[in-house]
Amino acid sequence: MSDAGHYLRLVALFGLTLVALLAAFNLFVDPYGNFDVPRISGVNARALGFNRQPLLAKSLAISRVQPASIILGNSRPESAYDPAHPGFAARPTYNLAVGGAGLGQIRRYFLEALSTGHLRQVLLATDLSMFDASLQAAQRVPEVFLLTNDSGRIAGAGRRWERMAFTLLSGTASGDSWWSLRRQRDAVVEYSPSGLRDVTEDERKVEREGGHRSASLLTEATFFATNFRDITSPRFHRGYDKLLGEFRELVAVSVQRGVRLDVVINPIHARHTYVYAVAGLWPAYEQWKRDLAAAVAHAGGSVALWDFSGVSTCTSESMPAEGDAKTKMRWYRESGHFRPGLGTLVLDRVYGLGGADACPGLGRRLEEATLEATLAEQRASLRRWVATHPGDAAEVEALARRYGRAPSAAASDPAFLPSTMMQSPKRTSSEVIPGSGSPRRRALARMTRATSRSTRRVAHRRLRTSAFVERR
Amino acid sequence: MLFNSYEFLFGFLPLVLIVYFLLGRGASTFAAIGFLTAASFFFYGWWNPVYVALLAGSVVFNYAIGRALLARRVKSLLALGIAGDLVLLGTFKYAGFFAANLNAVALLGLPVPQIVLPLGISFFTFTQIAYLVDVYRGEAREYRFINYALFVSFFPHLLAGPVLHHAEVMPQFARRETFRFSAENFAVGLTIFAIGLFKKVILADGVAEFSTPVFDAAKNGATLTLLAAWGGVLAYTFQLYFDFSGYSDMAIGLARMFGIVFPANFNSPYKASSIIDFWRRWHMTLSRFLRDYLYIPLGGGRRGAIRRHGNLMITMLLGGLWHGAGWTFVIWGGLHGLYLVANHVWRAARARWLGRVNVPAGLAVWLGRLLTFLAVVVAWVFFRAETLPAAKAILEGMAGLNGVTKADPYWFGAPQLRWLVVMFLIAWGLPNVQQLLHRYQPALETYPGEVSPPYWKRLSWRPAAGWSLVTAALLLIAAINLTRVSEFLYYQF
Repeated sequence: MSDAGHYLRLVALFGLTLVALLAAFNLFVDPYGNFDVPRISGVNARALGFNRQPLLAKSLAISRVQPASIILGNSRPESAYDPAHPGFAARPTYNLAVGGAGLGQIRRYFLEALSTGHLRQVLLATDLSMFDASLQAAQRVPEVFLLTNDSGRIAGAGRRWERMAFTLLSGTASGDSWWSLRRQRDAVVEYSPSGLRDVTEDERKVEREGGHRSASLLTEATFFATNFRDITSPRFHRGYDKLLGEFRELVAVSVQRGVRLDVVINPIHARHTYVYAVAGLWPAYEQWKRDLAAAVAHAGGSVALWDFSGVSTCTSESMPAEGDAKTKMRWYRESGHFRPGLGTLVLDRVYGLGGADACPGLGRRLEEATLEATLAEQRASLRRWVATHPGDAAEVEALARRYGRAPSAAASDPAFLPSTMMQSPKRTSSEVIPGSGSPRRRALARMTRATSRSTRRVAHRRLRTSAFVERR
Repeated sequence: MLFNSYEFLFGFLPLVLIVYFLLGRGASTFAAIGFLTAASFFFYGWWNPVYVALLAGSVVFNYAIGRALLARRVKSLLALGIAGDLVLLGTFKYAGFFAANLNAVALLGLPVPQIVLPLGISFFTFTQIAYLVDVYRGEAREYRFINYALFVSFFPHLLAGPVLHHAEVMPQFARRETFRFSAENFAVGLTIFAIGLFKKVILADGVAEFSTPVFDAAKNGATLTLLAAWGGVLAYTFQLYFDFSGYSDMAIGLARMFGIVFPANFNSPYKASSIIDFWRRWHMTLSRFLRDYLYIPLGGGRRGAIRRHGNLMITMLLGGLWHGAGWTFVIWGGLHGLYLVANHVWRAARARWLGRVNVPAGLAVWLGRLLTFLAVVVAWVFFRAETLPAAKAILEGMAGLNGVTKADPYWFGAPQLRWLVVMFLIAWGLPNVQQLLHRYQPALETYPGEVSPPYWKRLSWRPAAGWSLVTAALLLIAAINLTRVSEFLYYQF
């Protein structure tokens, strides 16, 4: 008895000691910036856990900041819409956008923020990818991160302790503390105290990837590889209906609780809009806008829907040539992500603070009465963009084929796409580039191979991330 | 309820242990046994309360048949009992499979039932079939219903084994000292449990990140190149081993906390130097069951080589089907049957024609180990792949038919390589639980001849400060990672 009893007592003692040490370590490093602990340069001055667990870090921020205004959305608003913008009348403002977020996550964040009792104003920045039902599984917010349940009610006192335990004792938090500690002096993406993602590192990454055009191809290839893969399946449509229901609920609750809601369709670059068309998503894209407009129109209250995705001076900004990593675009990092300057123009327009002069044609209200005319005009303007940017269009089409996303006539608007795509889906990328000679052909072949490698790295990270998220 | 969940670790287990030992202090053990049985049924019902009735019905049915067999040992009663068990198993596990295949072959248009497979049904059914056969053979007897119900439902082995014999467990519950708290039993059990929990939560779930995407991609029609295919399959090879052997360690450790010694279920199977050796080390209690209740009754090896090979094939094909209602499992079993036949043929040929060829013993062992490992890895492709085309896609990748590139999105580079190297080192270089705790009878079987390398002896478990720190650290590391809860792979079988 004595040896074994002593052993058991030692196990208990060591166990408790290790638990205490671990909690102290995580509290001290505080990777999510959640505790009021002394900050030491090079040790814990930068809360870098935002990089690894943005969902958790921003969930914690809701309780800590108790924002009166919030920005909801994915990676686009995460870095482009500044909470300090004067359009946010109710303060404090917090940017709750998280990269890769879907509508389900956004709804949970909205309800969580609403539960604090301070919420007055919401900017919901959306785009088609947030309604990609095939990615729903990877877009859940783990329950332990939130203090409210799925219906928005407070989950009980136990949840607060559970989340505290997760923040101080989980393997996830401990790994993030260790990572944050090691990377304090490295060039790592940071978040402002108001949740805005700093773009310095993202801009550098674009340079490393070979400039805006290469980075755009990477984003577009990732879209072709991962988004809307099963759009024709009944399961997808059930998922889409569910997401749309969540959107309607968000609108209805905003009206009911007297919260000002501005829904903004992000100003993606014309190339990225063309990605939707080439992927055969154009009918779905237009229907999605109709669905949003209908949901907003019937809601009443102070809810507005804005569309910044149409072709405008800004959204059709020319891209530097292939391999040009020096020339800087004014408005875009790559075709899927706009820069904070354009984000400011969007906020100026939405909140009536100007913005129209700097970028003619940027943004308009989407209202049911004028919706069809607006959609027709957007279709025509994109068709004009395709005609005036044959090189860009050909690159996008080549990528679509590489990822097996060249559309059938039935899947898209036949009047919209270039006839070359509709008639010859198996043609090689170089064949659809006007005036392409063999040096151009070889260059494009090199580029698509390179893009593929980079894309695979991104896809790899996504795969691992989604596997991790599903398990939590 | 999962062993690797907070509600089990910090709620169910401590409570059941405390009440069990408190009740065990009384004059009669009936209350403790009754409580442990009730707790085990609660444990089962936590997943789906509806299926508690199924488990209870199965227990009552087999107990009644067993009692009748104790009164009169007639073959028809035994056949009735086994048939009842197989009907239950067939209904819940194989009805959909057979209906779908009949529809495909004979265009019968039968409805394909979509039944949720009750957890552990294969395990508690086999345990009870073994019991009935043992009673018929006069090797087991149980007159008290509560004892029988505990034997079947005892929660450490209920969901995924080990597959127990009545004779090796119930005599332990008949001993008075089993019901008194023993610090040694608890210390040994806690250590084994900690090792098992670590294996499952850190090793199996950790390496799963590299296998799941590969098999999912193959299912979705992706083309896999050599590195990605091998990387994914090797990752699964270790995931399955650490998942199931981790579960078995936890089961053995939990039983030991209650004073019960279970049979071992794994004995470093990837160190096997032949496929025959592999099946003596992998899922040992199932192998034992298939040997004693299928292979030997079929005639075993007693009627010549041809019959032996036929019996081996039948046994392994049915063993494959036991794991799952799907052709991939049948092929996996068939492949292992062929491996075993080839191994027997090779042994006979070597004895006859190569008897005088001297191969250094170490070299022979390592060559055999490598070949066995490769054969097992290839077979796992069928075990894991959800469809035959997916298995084919992975095998094509492994054969290099799709080229070799590090840029494949399903090859995860240096992190995956590090994981695989660590897995190899653990599986091939470290002692297993039986070897680590050999001084304290961790399992019913012992392997004294295998505790030979000097460094293993230095690692031997003792109830001392060093091991208490290791145990505490293993428990803590596993516990803080339980937020990534995942089920045990063998729960689906």
